[in-house]
Amino acid sequence: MSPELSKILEDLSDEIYACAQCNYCRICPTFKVEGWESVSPKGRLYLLKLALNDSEIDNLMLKDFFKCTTCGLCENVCIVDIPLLKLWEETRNRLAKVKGVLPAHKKLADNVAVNLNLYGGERELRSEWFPEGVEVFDSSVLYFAGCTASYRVKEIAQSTVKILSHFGIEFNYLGRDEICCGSTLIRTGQKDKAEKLVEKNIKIWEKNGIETIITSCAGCYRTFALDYPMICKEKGLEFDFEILHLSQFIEREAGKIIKDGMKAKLKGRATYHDPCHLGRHAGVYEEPRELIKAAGLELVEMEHNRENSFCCGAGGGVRAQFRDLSLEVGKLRLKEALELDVDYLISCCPFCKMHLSHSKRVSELEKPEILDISEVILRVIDENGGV
Amino acid sequence: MEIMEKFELEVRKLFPHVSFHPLERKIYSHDISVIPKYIEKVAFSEAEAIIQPESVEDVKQILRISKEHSKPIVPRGSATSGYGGVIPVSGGIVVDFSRMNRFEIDEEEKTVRSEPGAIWWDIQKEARKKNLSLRVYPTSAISSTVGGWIAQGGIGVGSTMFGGIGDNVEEIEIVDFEGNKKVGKDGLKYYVGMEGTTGLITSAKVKLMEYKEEFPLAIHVGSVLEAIKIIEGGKPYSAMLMSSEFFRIMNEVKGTDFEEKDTLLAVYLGKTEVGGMETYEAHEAYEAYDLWDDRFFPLRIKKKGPSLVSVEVLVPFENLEAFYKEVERKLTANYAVQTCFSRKGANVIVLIPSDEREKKFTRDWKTAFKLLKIGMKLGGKPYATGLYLSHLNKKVMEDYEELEKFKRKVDGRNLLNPGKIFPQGKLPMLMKVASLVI
Repeated sequence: MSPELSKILEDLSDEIYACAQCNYCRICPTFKVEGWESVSPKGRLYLLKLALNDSEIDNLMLKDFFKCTTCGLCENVCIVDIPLLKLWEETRNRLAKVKGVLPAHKKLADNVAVNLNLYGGERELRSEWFPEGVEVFDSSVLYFAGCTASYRVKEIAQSTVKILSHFGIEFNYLGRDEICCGSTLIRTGQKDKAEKLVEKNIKIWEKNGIETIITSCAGCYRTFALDYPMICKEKGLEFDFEILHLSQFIEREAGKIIKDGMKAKLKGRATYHDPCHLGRHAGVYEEPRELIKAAGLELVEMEHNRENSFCCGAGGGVRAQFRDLSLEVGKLRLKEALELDVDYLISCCPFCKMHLSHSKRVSELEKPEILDISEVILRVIDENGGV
Repeated sequence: MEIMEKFELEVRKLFPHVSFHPLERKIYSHDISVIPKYIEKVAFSEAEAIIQPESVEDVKQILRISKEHSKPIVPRGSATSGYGGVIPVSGGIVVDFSRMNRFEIDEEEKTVRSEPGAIWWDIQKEARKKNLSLRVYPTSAISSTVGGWIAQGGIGVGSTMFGGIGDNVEEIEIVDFEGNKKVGKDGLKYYVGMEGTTGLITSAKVKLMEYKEEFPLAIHVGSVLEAIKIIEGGKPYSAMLMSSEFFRIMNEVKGTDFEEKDTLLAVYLGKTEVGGMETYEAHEAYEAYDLWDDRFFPLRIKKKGPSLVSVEVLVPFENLEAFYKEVERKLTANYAVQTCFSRKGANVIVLIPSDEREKKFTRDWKTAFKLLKIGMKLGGKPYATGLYLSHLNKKVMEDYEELEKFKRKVDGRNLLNPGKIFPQGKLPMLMKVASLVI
């Protein structure tokens, strides 16, 4: 088994050997919780080096290898600029081929294979959240809710379509034809399965004449904006869609209206949690902040913000496979918000909202209220006469 | 019951944070150094267990178990030093101090009392909130630990003005086989720089200073003598001399655009200008600040390797120029020199990007040892000795005989970090022979 592992990692050797073992990546959220070097980026790189030199990686160590949310904070601080995010995902793909996929991650893939969503919910119920009174158009502008907003954090999808409708945006929505973006499969070493979703999604969008995709999910945004073009390039497919996160779209189309036109404002102190996929991975930092301020809230920053934002703890398959660990990371993030004594913790990702809310529940906290940016905007609209 | 089983059972019963996993043991048996494989085979062993203590009581228990089961102890911080100080040579227990990371700042006394696993830069961030600052810290401060740097006896940022860490520690607490005790000024020499071979540091009281804004100047220098003249004239807080080749490699790996000239980075406290600098050619102010921000990242050039061979020699000021000339003679290209000036001398770090997968890696190591030898001939000594250079200590370490006597007194069975500072085993012999041949 071990020479096989060393063979499949051989072409990653330059990156693996480049690690200075400086431990600046001690900032890793899962390492902060677990405290063992096998769970740190530095330790993982050393493990890969051992594997390159024919050491056996057993299942216990393999599990530790997957205790990574792929948040990318390590890449931010790496002094030798190893493209760590790419390395972790690539290594996971290869390890999964040799050692198999972790059980919880396999379950996610099975759910997607059968029902085209991560949660195993019935395909026909994907659009159950859609509110009455909001019209869908045969438009080239598509709203993509994503699996988490469709099946779990429905208030985000509901708020989003109400906002779009309020500002007169004629948008399309595909209902049961909206299928998983594949993000979680890519992050958990199952890229080959995700590639099938890429092809399916593109076919559906082309069939429906879609040119612009707006999503309220940071994970879907990152996947469409960064992973899809790369996969299409590898497969010789065309990818010609404009991808926007809701915060970008609303800031562009209605930011001024909210800021100057809506006189009734929200009150309170808020802090903003940059979702890893929207912020550090895709560079979208300011639009959500502008909207929070336009809504009238006093915005204060957590110690770790923008490119240094601390992960919520859910990503990379960690919430699925290592629930307790992911909640402990979530609690660390909440602690930063608590230090600011804010009324609201706002984010732009259904997964972050779901997970931070869960972390808040298990911590038995009263404050802060955890909201998505879509809910904040809808509240301002409601304060000014409603949708 | 097998002896190992009994040991494992007892350890698991006493401590919540332990590991016996074979791969975890491999991970905890290395540091940042990479040396030729044949030396590794001779010198290295593997931890039998890793324990993460959370209190002084835990540390005392670890020593009790060590004595009872005859298991060597190897203390470990962030393992960011490259002298093999945290590498087990005969199995035993690696004591990872990362969970003992609490510290408290005394604003009135201007000191910090810290557990050994606290990170230097975490302390600095808290100190700055109170308008205080560390006087000295290592260039690895972002991740290195209080206990680790004290145990190494290092010099670093601020040492030009304030000396090494040993000059800035007021008091430590240690645990040895007799129990725990406080050690003040007179006793520090038995522990600072001793790599945990005479006792484990469980807390340290380190001096702070009132924070004053740092004003960096990056001055092109025509010679080492010119750099020394500037330092002696202006008395900077911290001073580093970086070679033109250092900038060339940095520009190559980082895509920066620094002027590729020998540069003295001199940092002054509480000033906005420094007299007498008008005659010198300097980098732009923003570049000086960039270089000052970059003080934590000399290892960036490893990217060129992907491996790095390095040698660190503490050279007296009067022989520094001669040493630089020898370095230039031995290495014509593809190396970087960074010198950190302290009260004890000039710590010259020569960094050679290399590739441990290639044959030239051994050649580059030979070159590094040659440079060390030359440095010693010029009155210098290695910055630290740790595991790899323990054979030199009798010659270079102040009060070696007295320290050896002390070691025998407090650790007669040589269980405290064996093989470090005081040579043992095959490696010192091998290194001695190698140094004769090189």
